[in-house]
Amino acid sequence: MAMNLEAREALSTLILAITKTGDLYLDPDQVKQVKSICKKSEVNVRTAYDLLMIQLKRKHAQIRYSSTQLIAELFQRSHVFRELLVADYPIFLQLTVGIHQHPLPPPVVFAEKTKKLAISLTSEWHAKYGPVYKQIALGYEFLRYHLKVDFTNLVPVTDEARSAEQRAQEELSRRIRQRKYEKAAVEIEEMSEDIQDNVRKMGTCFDILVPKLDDESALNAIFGVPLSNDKEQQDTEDTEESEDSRMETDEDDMHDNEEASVVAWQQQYDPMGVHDNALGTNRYKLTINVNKDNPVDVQESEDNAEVFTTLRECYRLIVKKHLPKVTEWMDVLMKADHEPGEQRAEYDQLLKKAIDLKKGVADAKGKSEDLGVNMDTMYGPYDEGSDEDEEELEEVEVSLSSYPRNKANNSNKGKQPSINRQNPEPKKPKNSVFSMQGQDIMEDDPTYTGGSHVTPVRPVTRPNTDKAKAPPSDPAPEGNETREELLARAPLVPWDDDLALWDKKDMAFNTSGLEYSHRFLGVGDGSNLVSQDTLDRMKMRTRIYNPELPKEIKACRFPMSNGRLCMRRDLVRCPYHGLVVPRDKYGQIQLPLEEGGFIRTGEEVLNDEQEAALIERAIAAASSSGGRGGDASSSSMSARRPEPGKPNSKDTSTWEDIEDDVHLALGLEKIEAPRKRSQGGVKKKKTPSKPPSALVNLSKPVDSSRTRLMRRVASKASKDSVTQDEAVEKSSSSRDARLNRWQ
Amino acid sequence: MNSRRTRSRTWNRSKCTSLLYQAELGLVRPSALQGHYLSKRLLDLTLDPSTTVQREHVSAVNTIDIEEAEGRYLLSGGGDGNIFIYDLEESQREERRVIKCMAGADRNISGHKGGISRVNWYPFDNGMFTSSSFDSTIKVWDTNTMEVACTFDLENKVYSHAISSKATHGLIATASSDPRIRLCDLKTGAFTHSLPGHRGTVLSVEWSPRHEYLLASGSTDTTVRLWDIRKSSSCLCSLDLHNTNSPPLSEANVAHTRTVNGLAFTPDGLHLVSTGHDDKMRLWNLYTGQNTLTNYGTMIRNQFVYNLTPLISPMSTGSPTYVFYPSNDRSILMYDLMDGSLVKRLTGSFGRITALTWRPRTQEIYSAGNDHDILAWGPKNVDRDNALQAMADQDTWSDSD
Repeated sequence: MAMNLEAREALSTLILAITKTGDLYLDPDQVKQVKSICKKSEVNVRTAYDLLMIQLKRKHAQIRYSSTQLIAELFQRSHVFRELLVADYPIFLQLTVGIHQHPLPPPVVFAEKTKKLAISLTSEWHAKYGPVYKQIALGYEFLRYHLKVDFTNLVPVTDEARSAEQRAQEELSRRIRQRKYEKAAVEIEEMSEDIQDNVRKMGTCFDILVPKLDDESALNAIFGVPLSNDKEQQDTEDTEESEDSRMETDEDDMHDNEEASVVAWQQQYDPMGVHDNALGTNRYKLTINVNKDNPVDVQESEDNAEVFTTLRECYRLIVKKHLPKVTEWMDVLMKADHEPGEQRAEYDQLLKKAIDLKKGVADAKGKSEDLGVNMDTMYGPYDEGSDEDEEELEEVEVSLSSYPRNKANNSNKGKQPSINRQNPEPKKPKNSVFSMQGQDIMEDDPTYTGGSHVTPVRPVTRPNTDKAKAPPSDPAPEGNETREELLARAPLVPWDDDLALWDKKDMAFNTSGLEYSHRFLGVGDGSNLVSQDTLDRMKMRTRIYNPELPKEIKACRFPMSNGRLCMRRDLVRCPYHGLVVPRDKYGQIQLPLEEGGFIRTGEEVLNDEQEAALIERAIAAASSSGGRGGDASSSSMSARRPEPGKPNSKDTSTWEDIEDDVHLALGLEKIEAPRKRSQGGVKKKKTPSKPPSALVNLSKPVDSSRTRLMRRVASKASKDSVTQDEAVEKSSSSRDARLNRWQ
Repeated sequence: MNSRRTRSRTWNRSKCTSLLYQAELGLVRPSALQGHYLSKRLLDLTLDPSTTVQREHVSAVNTIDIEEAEGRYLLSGGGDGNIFIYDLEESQREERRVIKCMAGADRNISGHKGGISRVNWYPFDNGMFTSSSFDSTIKVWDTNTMEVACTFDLENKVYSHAISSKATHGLIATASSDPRIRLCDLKTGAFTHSLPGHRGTVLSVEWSPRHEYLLASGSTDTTVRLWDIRKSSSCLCSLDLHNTNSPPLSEANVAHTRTVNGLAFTPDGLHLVSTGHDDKMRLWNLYTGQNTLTNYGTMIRNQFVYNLTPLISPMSTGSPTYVFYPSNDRSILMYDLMDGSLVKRLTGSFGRITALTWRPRTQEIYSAGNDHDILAWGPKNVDRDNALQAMADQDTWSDSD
């Protein structure tokens, strides 16, 4: 008996696992385990049958599909299982095909699959066992006669059939691969010329822009002409190994240069390296920092603008077209089948070509990026034909990450900023005085239209008025320390008109002296000043009170006489049971918090004063949480709305939370609240480590076009608007009717 | 449950062999032997895999009947208004028996215009049968020519009719949507009686096999009434579910809490079985007219306004009597008539079973279903030994499992 129980346990977990995965095919290992258990005794087969029927009755097509597959496995094997299933054959068909007005549960795809599987199983079993098991024959007849199922062209479900299906799939994919390969081969033939051309062109551009070390004339140009930034030029020479390292002034410096000729030249004429470092001795050490971010520092100027333009075009071509293409070819070639013989040779050739192309393209791309040509800077400063708007657009797209590099460059080079457009300004906040940090609060204000009206406070020092080109305003000029401190101390308030006046003691109006009294500012008392009263009023600000309603209104949960809990949801006070306080699942009042969130109410009877005080407190809490700076006007505004109820932050502090806190503090395990459904709880606990099941969640509402539409149409707002429209229409029509009556 | 059944079966078998020996010695009556064999075969009843009744009807088969004279011809009436006769002895000896239709009465001019509600063979001769239909007529047919010999028009939907298998009076009792039960005389072709008493549609009517003038009827007014057609105030009593001592014709007497739609006398005529929409089956003692309070459990499903007659197996001494109930959940429930225990549940039909009939000679049951099919249920043939069965009985576990 104990053995039996064990087997039963094992079977039930296995069958649950198999049917709950929701996969299309069963896990062969698990199926094998089930079979081995069933093989041991008939009782186990019966158990398996019972469990499977339970699973089959679940209202989920995926579970049913898996169960049906397992049933098919066992049906093939066990005589007892056959007897059992045959006795319930109508029910089996009911659950899998949906006869007798028992439609299959969703998801539809799997329901359809289950149906097909069951029909083909029926046909298979009918052929095999039909003469012995009348029920199967009857089921077959039933399907054929009543459901008009066509049994002639069914996909068989046996293993061979499945493997055949797989073979067909493989064949198909092989053919697709072959076709892709052929296409790629043709394309490589066609396009390799173009790509190579392009790469060659870019190579020429690089040659023009970056002097080579073995180029005598270029070297002469470098060393002969005193350049303002000698160091940078040297950096250029140390090109592509973009490693930031300290190099010693002697041979080590040269070590990095692969150019043997240069070494030879040096050893011949300049053994001490005087020419190189302008130092007669190598006892000194010279440290050179190679700029990691911008190893090749070739500036774009009017002279080489043409070259850069060409380079950009080529670069774009490479990035947009050639590189993806080459990568795709590589993919296709790697996946293609290797067939021996001539094709193999051809394949190797193609692969080599593709690899070469890829290398060339990647090289060219990398080089041009080193030169500062990338997708972010598709237009140089000397590009013609790119109109102003486009330029602006490109500027905006510059990422902020380029900022530090830019800074470093600037500090290195001293004064030669921003000719190169690849180093633009980071965007500054538009309003530096008020810095609009309260903007997010302002967004809630319906009267707020945005900060577009703010004028730049600091005049632009540079002659070019383009804001983006302006250099970064120095954040802290000397002598402004006190202002900094003040700013740090200053209260942060959203922008409003009163900020212009907040520190004014008096305000003169109408300085023109033409009129004595002002239309809006009122009649002055002789001194051309706005009256104190008006000024005070101007310093006030309007605040739109935005009450934060609790997202979820808790139920009253007062234990009623019929044993249930009161389901009313009120903000503060249930009209029948008084104040809404947190209660446990039996409706018992939970202990109040020390913060004074709740008054301990033994009974629902509360006299009016207490209640008024409570509401007041709730309102105060709500308004204080709603926003800072709740001055007189705001509180008077909020007082008009007695609605804001319990602050929801307090509602969450239930007994469980307190308990959890205590347990956490003591280092104990968290106590799991007992679940209503024991089975669900068990399921959860059992499978935390398992991969998530592929079962479709049926409890979740389906997101179809219809439901979306319904959500939109059936929403309260739209319904209200419709009823409003109707009301308006009705009233207008009745008005019209009344008008017509007099005609 | 299952083990108990197998035990009882082996017990039966050993008892049968010993009984055979005892019968040979003359120690027991032959009837006891017969009873035990009958009981054994009944317990082995299952869907007969080798017998197929050809499908003829194009709608639900509402009623079937097998004649008592030869036990050979099966009569079926369908919702399409057609009546067919099958010869059950056709290809009896063959491995796979296909019972073909030998004659049929289509919906021709003389035939029924509506669905057939009940067909009955004339109990004494298979040259004649009667049929009632929802087109409000009862027709008497000549079997040999398959033509209507006589038509009774009741002007109401006829749900059932019955001919006494005992009496010589030749009266057809009718159950129709008219609360009165009318008796049609085969001799004159006219109505002889009209029995008032019911207050709703009469759904079932049966003659007693013991007393030729005793008639039972069940109605939607939840009552079962017994009638003696010889008396002027013919209603004898209305059966009372609670066995109170109220007068026999009291208004308070009800047999079921909801519509009564099936009645069956036991073959000895001492008991009456009634079924109703309250998903109950009740056994009445006709000697006292009291409810025997036999509890048949909660498996019964019955919800259609339709005549649904349970089938009672032949009685024999030494073996219990069984009652077969065509439940609406597409199964046949086999109960022990006297103690109410569920003996077996016969499943396999794909349609709701509408009628059952008994073939006495071979201990077979035929069932009509609303899936247009007639099914044969026979005792499992343990002697049958063919390759297919052997294959089906085999377990095919692979070694790797």
